[in-house]
Amino acid sequence: MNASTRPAIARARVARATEWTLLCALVAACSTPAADTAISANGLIVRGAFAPEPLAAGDSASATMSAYFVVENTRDADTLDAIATPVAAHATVHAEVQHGGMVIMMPAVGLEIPAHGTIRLRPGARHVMLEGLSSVPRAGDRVPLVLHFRHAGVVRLAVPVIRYVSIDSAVEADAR
Amino acid sequence: MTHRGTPRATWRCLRNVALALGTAAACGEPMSNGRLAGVELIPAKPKPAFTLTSTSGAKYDFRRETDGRVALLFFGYTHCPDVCPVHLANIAAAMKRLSRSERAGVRVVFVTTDPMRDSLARLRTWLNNFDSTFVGLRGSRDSVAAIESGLGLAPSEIEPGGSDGYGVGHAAEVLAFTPDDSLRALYSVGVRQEDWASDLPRLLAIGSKR
Repeated sequence: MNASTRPAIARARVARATEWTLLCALVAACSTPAADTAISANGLIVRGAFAPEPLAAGDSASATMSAYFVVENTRDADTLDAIATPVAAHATVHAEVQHGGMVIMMPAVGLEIPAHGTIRLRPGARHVMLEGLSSVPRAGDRVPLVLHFRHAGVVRLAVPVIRYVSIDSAVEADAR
Repeated sequence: MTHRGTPRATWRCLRNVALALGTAAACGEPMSNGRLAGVELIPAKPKPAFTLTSTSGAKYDFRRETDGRVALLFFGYTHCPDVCPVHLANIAAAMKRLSRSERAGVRVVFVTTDPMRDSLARLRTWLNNFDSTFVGLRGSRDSVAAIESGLGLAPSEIEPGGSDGYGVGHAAEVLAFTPDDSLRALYSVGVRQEDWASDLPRLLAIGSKR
């Protein structure tokens, strides 16, 4: 999401936790074991990861894609400090910030995971932005993401790539 | 990515747009009375008249081409990371559930807010990811901004940065016009395929001329 990626750096603003919950069982093939998409590490549970397949447009697919997941923290506050992936030059959390009366997305330095709290990344809100893709993943592929948490350490994800039309069923609308 | 209006998945108050449109309607509780899942505008507003260039290269007179039909109008751009493609993918999925005659009564019209990067060809290729019948329109930034303003939407804005150069802030709501040529309802981020599938026949029935 090229979109509002601004050179300026903004702190992640954790919005109200009214977002959708991600249904990991529906993300990839239904046969995917839940354990495959729910990773536990030192009190953190990362689950429900998915990434929409980049769309064809003009001569080439977009050189960017986004990824989403839920982080549940059963211990003290933590911070997602960095994300690495072999498929893109940059992987950054983008978060909502207020800007002149409207909400825009900006790169965030550190995503705070409150103690005993849950942070949900979802379409239209906080997300991981992958820029400078070295190849274009397709639905059915998995994108490796390495999440570096300040306290919990490293969490490795294999994020299922899904079609945009499947996001509807990959996201549980608990905000409705 | 960036968008205006309500970023959260919500059936709550579409505050920005609803206020801009001067409506006192439907700010709050989900519609559970058998009416629309979208946020209804009370009173409905008249359909605007504007002409832009379609992906075929021909002029597209929005009011004339959508007369007597349901028109779903959305402003966005092909580099849009998730709000635009999620809306279009969901609408396309719901359209497949309609009867042939119902489908014929619906026009989905996407106006690019990024004419510098969105050529007509690029727009067509991108829309074909969802449905080859979706109409893609392009015009100057000024002309599109004037249309947005006329609808009560804040004009789209260029926001520098990112690997692709820049993003475009735009309203995140799909505008639904009914066959009586009225702007009847808004659909924000978070609208589900199921909602579209139930609302489209209802929209078709409102003020139908057919």
